[in-house]
Amino acid sequence: MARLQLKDLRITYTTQTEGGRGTVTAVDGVNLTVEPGATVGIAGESGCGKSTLAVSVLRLLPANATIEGSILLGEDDISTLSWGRLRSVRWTEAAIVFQGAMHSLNPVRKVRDQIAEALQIHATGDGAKYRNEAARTARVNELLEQVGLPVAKGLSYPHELSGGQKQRIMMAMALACEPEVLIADEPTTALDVVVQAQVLDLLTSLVRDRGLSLIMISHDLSVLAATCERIVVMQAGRIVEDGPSAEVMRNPQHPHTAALASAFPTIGDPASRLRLPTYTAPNAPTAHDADRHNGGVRTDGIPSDGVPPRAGSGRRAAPMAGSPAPTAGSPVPVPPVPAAGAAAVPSAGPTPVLEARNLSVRFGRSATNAVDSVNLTCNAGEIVALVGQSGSGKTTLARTLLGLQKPTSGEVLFRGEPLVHRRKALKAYRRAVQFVLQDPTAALNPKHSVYEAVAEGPRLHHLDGDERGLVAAALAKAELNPPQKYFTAIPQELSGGQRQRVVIAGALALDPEFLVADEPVASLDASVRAGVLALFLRLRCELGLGALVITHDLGLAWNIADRVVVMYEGRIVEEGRVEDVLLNPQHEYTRKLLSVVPTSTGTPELSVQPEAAR
Amino acid sequence: MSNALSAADLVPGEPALDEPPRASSWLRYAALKAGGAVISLVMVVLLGFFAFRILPGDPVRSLAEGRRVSAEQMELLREQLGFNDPLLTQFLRYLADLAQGRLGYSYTYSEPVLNLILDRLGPTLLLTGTAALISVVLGLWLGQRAAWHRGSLFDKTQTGLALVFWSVPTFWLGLILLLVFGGGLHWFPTGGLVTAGTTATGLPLLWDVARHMVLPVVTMVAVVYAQYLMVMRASLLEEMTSDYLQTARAKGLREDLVRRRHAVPNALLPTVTLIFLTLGGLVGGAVTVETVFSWPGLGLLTFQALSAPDFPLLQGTFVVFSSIVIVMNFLADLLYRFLDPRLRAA
Amino acid sequence: MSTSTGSAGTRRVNVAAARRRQALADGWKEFARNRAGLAGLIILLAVIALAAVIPLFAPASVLDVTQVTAGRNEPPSLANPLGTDPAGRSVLALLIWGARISLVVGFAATLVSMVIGTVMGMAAGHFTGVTQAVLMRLIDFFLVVPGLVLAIVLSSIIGPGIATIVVAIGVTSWAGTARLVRSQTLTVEARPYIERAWALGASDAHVIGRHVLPAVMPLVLANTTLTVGSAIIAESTLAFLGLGDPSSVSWGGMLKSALDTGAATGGYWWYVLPPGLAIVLVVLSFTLVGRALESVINPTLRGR
Repeated sequence: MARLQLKDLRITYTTQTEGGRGTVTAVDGVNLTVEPGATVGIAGESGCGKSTLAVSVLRLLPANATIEGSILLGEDDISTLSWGRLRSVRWTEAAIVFQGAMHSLNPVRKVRDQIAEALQIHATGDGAKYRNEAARTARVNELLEQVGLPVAKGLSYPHELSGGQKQRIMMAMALACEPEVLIADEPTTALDVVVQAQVLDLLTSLVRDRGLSLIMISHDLSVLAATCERIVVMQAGRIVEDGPSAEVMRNPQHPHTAALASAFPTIGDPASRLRLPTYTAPNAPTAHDADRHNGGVRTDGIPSDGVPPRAGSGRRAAPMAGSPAPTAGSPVPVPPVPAAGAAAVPSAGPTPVLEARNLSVRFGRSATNAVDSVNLTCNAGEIVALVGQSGSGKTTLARTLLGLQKPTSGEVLFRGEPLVHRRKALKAYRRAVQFVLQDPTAALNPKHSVYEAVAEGPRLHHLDGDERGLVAAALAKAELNPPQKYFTAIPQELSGGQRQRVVIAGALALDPEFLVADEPVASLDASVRAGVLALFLRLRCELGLGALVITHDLGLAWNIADRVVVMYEGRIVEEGRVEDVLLNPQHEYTRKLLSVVPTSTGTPELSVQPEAAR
Repeated sequence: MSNALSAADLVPGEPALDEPPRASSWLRYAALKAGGAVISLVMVVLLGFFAFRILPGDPVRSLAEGRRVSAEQMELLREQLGFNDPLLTQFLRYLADLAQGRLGYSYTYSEPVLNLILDRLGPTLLLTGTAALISVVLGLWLGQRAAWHRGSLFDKTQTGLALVFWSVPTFWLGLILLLVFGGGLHWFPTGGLVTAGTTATGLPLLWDVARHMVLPVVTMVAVVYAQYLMVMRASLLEEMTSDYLQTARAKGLREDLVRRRHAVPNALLPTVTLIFLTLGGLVGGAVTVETVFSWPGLGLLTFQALSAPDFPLLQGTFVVFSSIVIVMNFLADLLYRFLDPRLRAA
Repeated sequence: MSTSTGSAGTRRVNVAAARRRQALADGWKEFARNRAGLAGLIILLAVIALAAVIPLFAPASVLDVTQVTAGRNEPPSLANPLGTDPAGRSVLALLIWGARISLVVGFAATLVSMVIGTVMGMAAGHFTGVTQAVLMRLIDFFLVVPGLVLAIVLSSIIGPGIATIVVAIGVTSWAGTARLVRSQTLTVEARPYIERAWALGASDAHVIGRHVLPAVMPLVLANTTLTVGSAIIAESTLAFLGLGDPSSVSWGGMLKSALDTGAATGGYWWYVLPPGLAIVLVVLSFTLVGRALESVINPTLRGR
């Protein structure tokens, strides 16, 4: 008998609008059966109804929601249960690990009390022994150990814990009353890649050891593939695809699934190297030169990336404390990489545009440098991916390169000249090096029209000429056509992808020589990610506009970058050509980052199917 | 499942990636707040001095206003009060006096200002303290109930009533109460701390004081509780959308437990801050209420100093009133750090 | 998405103006849905209209104690619907004339308070380092210091009068606004579009003028209506304490003379109730309008 069965489930929200009552359908006729011990991943973009579906299992819906159809949890139909019975089913039959543990814990109570509270509430029947405080204490200690936290951490308040620790507390809390079903709603969304892998690993082993049914919600197909046997893809409240994880990932049937999957390219797969659904770089590898990364030379003898064949792989890896020196890779400094195949930049040699020399940034009384003695060179017309986790100092480095943050020591060079932190000099510099921010929704003033947003830069710099023409040209370069159609729109009328294009157009309006982009696609839905990346690639290939793209996503580097720079704890630990670094990583940290994403040398280790373990 | 990514770290220093924030020291926090309070006190002292010396008005002329005072007499008064000395000399004298606890000499009472203030401090603390306590309990309780049952009849009547009380001038409410319950119905005495000429001691004295307190306390509470109600209600409504309440509900808690254990403790925190920030308003209320009910406290003293006018006395009451509020706010900051664990990491 | 595809500049301006009109219309619709706010607005408009036209019906001479015709402390009658005051003047005429002073002082004091509060709040939020520390200290000080006592001190030194009361209230009541504006400024400046503006080469003036001020103004506007209410109460309180202008009629001044002449204890309720009720009505109306404006600006407050 199924653990959980959703039959023709429809959930609608009643909203009050001017024209009277309206309804919004969040979940639209979903049928889903979860067997005992099964692990099911529900994927979809924001607003597809997956979170509503998750909380409906415990009927944790706002008062304006209406449930039609049935939700069978064990033998109970949740949709019709009395409140009293519902409360006793909550947490004992099914428990939820909520999205963003940041806000899901009460900020003014010690976390162990919050775990114990669940035990106390359900101290009836089997749990009656937890009426005793000593029994509760023992159980909480046991749970903390099971999620890999020292017992002492239980005395902390949520703000004293890191994101990963908080998510572990949420898991301990969820397991407290030994539920049969565990629902995890984006459990790792706000976490770093490596911490995310640890948390997922823990979650998977806890679920497996207890034979629980797991329903995991995520926008990230690779996370689901790594943890679940089966993936269900939702779009607009409906299930559009349902199948075994490996099958769904390898051979998506529905176009929406394919779009979601394209956001997680396989590193090493030539089909996604400098190649996106809407644009392919002229120098993209063809299918038959898949092994080019080994020699850096195409089989037909034509240098790849327009780079002359050269000795050595032109990369280096910083030695690590406590680890043996890298065995491969030359310690020689990086030879500059020329502008890649860009017709607009006909120069023969590489021209460094932006350089960091021995750059360090330290905040306040902090004991460590956020950015620590960084040397970095960005050449004209190349895309450099700066990869690292949050907290690795990559955003600080970007802000320092842009002159938005003063370095503690070292210097930033623009065209070989040191950057002067004076108002006038900075203003001239800012015309040449432009910024693309992470979240386009927040990066645009909601009150300004697209025209005003794009014209802001030219107005600040008192650019001569036809402002309208300038704005139109910038929008057209950012692939917003016809530009006039967008002039009067305000940001909230545009989609996320269009907003990011407006931000890029605002930068292009100043006719910059180089772009610095901080996680330009991280806040976008998977299906529009490819379009924005393609734009960066097109700008580099057709206009010779280089960019430093900051990201946590190695797939992005594989998609569009010429070179990759790996940053860890404020230092650059490895850098070199994308093919070299990603396919033959030297530094352990790079390897670790790579081990959690799909690569052609092997599926991510986490995505070993649980079937194999059974 | 591979072990490559288990909790065991491969990369040295790995925990740094996922490091929780560090707590700041209690002492630094207290020192910071104390520093702020001291600066405020200094500003009060400076304002107390310079306002009376530098502003366009002439204290001596205002003093003499409406009386027959000859130019010579005014000059004599200036000389006596030291207004003819250089400003710096006056200021140094003021500081030296202050350091010795002297707040000047009242010319209407012919008594040191400090003595007058000390005499009147007790009744004011009794009145405002009682009123504040009742207002806080009443306001917070009604506020959280109104928020939790948002849109109910209870919410509508309580919010409406609070808005009306908030719009009532304190002194006018006092006058009305005086007219109805004192003058008309003779239920309560209309003024003073005790019945004039009473010789009662012990319990009868307490009873007498309590009867005298009823009307002034009710007046103050009516105006003050309304603010607390509105703040608590808004704060809880804000808190009611928090994710952790969803967690608590998912755990199977009853709604009243969700409210009592989770929502209210969090909603109280911003409310407490605002309550302490409005202490100054309570003092303002004391001035008018004491004036209406002839309550022999600092507020009435302020009014008397103002009607005389008696500038040393006014300056003294201003400095003392302000200092009390500043010190209370400093204590509130310290208390707040205990109440809100998040501040300990700030 | 707008349907406009026109390329003429005038067309764009028209669309932008239409958008602004639409926003105003939407805001008004939202405001009008708040019945209490609407009632408050109607009452305020009525009071303001009445105060504006009163000289046509009851010239200033009716306030002159030397020209009274009625007896002292007469109870309400057909001739004097609200009776007469201890000097024999019509309480109704006094009440409406008093509205002029109370409203003018309320608005003027609020203007002073809002200008100081907005400038200080934005500066404290925008600048860093020493400037910020000093401004913060100043705001904290004025936030904590008992406003009424300070206002008493100020006005007793400057001497009684309308201008004195305006200054005293304005100078002592701006800190709350500054606190609010500062936190809004911080919120706005933490938004990435400010970072984007810096990266585009913006100056302090550009960031404040183009981004911060427009974002802060609605909040200031809502706060203004709430502050007018408090200022009217403060005005009446100061007048009651004898700091008002003795030569002009205001609601607080009427209550003071009620207390001074024994009208309050003598049972002449028609001289004690109307000024107080007028204050309550007007202040309540300002408060209701202010709350309704707040909910238009901040949709999350709706239904509160």
